[in-house]
Amino acid sequence: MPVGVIVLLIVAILVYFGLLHRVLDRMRLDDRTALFVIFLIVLGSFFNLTILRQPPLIVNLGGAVVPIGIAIYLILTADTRREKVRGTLAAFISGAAIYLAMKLLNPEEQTMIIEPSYFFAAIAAVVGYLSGRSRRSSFIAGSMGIVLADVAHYVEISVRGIRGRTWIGGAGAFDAVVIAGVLAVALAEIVGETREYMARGPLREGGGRERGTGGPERGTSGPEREGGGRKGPDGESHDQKGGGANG
Amino acid sequence: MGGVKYVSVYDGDGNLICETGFRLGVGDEYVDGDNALWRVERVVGDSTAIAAYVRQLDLTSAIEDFQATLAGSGAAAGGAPQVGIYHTHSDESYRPSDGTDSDPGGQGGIYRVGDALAEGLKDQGITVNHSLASHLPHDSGAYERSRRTAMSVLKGSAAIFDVHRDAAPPEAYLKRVGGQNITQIMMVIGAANPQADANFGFASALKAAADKVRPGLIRGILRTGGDFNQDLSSRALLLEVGAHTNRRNEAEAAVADLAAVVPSLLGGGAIGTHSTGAWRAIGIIAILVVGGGGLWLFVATGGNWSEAWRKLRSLGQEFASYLGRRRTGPRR
Repeated sequence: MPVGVIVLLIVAILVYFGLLHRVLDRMRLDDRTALFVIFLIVLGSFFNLTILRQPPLIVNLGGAVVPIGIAIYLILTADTRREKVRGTLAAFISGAAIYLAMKLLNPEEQTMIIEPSYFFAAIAAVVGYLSGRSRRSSFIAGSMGIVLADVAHYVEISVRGIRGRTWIGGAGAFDAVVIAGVLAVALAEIVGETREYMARGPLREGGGRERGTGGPERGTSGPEREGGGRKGPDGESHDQKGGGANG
Repeated sequence: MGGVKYVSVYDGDGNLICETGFRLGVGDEYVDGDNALWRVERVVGDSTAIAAYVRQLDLTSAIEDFQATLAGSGAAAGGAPQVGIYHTHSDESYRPSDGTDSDPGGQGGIYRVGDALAEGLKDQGITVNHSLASHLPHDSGAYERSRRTAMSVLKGSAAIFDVHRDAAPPEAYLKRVGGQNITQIMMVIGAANPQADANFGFASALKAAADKVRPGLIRGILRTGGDFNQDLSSRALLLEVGAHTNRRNEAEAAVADLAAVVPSLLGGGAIGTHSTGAWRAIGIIAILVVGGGGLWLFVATGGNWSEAWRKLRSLGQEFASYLGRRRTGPRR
């Protein structure tokens, strides 16, 4: 294999899985657990499970089961009932948006701005962030949005008697289910950092804790930031006026 | 391609270049049967496009160039290669033969064309992984669904073909080749995919090889927007085999002719990629990572570069935890 391609593959793998690790890191998973989850996603990419046979409903372990497990973990470990509900609702809103987009947009791919896998993942990410407004909810909405859209597809082909199959997460580690989760959290991170910077100004040199970097260290509640905003114990920063959590 | 709308492409003098159901945009390129390269300059409404002649392509070295990249990719010489075939638009059919141009039940006539291609390749000693999976409904999610199929047929395959039929008048594709009526084949490259140049190299080599043994079989090569899951392999092509107005048996005859050409190009069964575009892609990734990372640092620290440098240095410390030494105390 040419050197250029080898280097490209290594770079792509490092960037993609480095980003995925960063995302998992923000979910209160320690480094080893995050690495183990990535390992599960990669290993699970080679295994598929047929849930139903007529029409076929198949799930890929790495591309679907592991991300779904992460999403469920995030919902169950949310500190408040409000977070749980918001995350769940965000998933359904995202799923509905993706499903509608599939129906309403032009079916010819060359009319899309970006490749469908990333396009629908981007929709899930944006809707997920807007619905959830925190990194955790963003990941839930991003990943589960794609999953729920696939479930809606399965219901459609079953009800309409269309010959087809639904293969959730079939592209494994590179499926839209994983990509959407990563994009959603990345979006939450970028928007959250930008909003905090615009609201509170630059960090004093050498002063205090980092601003807008994703919450206090795990297990700590963190000091109050300048301006009075406190980062909540769930690792998410909350606007002081309670105007929705900002991841 | 579904539906009956199509686009007619003319040159500046009003001469017809081609007709296709693809919705073309400015900048799309088309290599015609005589290897003339055309570029779309204007789109008028949704049925007409005006293209300008760019230059004449010389495909005489296309086969050699392609085989050199095969050798460079480490593909083993000899041995039976494998080819993957699938169909994103599972409903596409041929009206004169199938009675409809779109089978909502997902048993489109296009699958029979895929079968003909598979049988032709097997007769040449090539192993074929032909997926009969349906990706209906024919909506904007079809390529998302077929991406999963493409990845499955890609395993162990030297090349993959997404077989479709176009939407155009019958004369746009009908040709008499080798004493029989066949539908011509148009190869389509998704210009948005990072492997577009490599895909185009494969398509050029395939056309050059086909032109030698079956002149007129390949109608042309269209390079348009989109990805068509061709980022998955440097040898991934979308084939438009005739149009909905052609007879399916003529399409089957065309792919049988194509199958005779494919083995002359493909070496061993290993998937390899060549470095065309690889270094450019690395450069783009590096720019995005450095640029994006720099932007994030700027926003996160409010332009405080000493703080930004401290954050950057702390990134390296994170990887220490993978090596076994557990950090104690809060992480900075």
